[in-house]
Amino acid sequence: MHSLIQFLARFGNTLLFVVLEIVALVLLFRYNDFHQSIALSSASRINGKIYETREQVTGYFLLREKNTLLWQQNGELEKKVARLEAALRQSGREEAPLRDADEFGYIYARVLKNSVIQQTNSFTLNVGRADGVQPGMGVTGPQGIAGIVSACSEHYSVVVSLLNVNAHFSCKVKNTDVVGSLTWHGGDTRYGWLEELPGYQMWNVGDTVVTSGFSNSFPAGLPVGCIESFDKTSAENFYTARIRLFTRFESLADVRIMYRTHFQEQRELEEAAK
Amino acid sequence: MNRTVVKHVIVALVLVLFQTLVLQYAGFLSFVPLVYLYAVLIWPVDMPVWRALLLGFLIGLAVDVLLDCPGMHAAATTFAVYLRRPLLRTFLSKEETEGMEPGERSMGFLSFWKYALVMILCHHFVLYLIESFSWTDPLMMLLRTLVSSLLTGVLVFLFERFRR
Repeated sequence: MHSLIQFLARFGNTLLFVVLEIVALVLLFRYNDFHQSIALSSASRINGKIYETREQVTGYFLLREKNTLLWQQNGELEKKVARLEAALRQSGREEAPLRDADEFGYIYARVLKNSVIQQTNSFTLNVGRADGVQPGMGVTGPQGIAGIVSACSEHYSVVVSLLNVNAHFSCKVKNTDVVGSLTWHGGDTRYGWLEELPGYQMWNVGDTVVTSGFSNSFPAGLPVGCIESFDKTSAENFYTARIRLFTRFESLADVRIMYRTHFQEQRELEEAAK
Repeated sequence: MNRTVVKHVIVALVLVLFQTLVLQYAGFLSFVPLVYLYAVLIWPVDMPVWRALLLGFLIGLAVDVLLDCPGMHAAATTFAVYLRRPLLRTFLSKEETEGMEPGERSMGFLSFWKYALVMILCHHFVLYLIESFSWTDPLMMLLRTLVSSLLTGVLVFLFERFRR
């Protein structure tokens, strides 16, 4: 007993140091479990409130630019609608073919907390399970896709950003069947990397990259970015392309969560099939 | 004594919130000052080590939780706190007085900055080392350590100007 006390007096601090470091590393390496549990994340109640307050202040910044952008997008959409309506009338068809597009619906959300300077970036939204959000749903910003919902609490959800070195998104080159896996290598938030692309003849620098539609999260054809350059040095038959991402993650403020109108049905079916 | 405790609690709270709500958005590419470490730097020289370790861990954990990255900042801050005592012993040229708080005025400009810079560099290095485990680019990691340390240093310098 005496020697134990002596030991503690001498090495107690070091022992405490080691224990605390182990706790920290356990937290770190079980990151995903904790992320899912959301007790220790920005979706928890206190954190959610803190970030909600912050967003109420910062939400006013950059409003003019956002307005301009929305105005432009609105114009583009109106043009598109007019064109589509004209085409439909010309072919003498009713609106029935458009119903396929209704397969996906939107939940509108605001970004409360955002990070772009970590290796595994994520952002927090002001909607949660109570609003119909579920993990796995895709999130798009004004310019393109932004991430996938990873965890929800009652009123908040955390989204794994495209800017996450551990995340992969299935994408394809527009108007081709060339499919690759989009990921981020850290650092510059403007660029992502499309990996495992087949032969160069099938695509070109400058081509647009869109979602492939192979995952449940996004329908096919949503804008992601465009090919800026490519890298031959990777595995022999595959290329890695540098993609200039459309979404400006630094100023991400308003987003839409995409839900499949039959999401619940599909989920239940998949559960039942297991 | 009580006033000192209250003061340090407030400093820590303000710096953690400043870090997570403001600074984290002011960083460019992946360089960002990690200024919450200043709260640790100015703790009294004779603060019991076990207490400093626990509080350092808690400050790091608070930053982690607010930034959605459990463990990293806690590990780095605990490490820095563990170095604090030996570093102070090495760099403190003057006689240590009871309840003395490290600073340019109390320690002298050179002594304080030797202590502060080593603390900052070690803390940032450990943080970026842990963060890059899943992604290996040692040059980028060192660059981030150096640039971020520089940014933190600039802010600590400014804080020291406004200190009574």
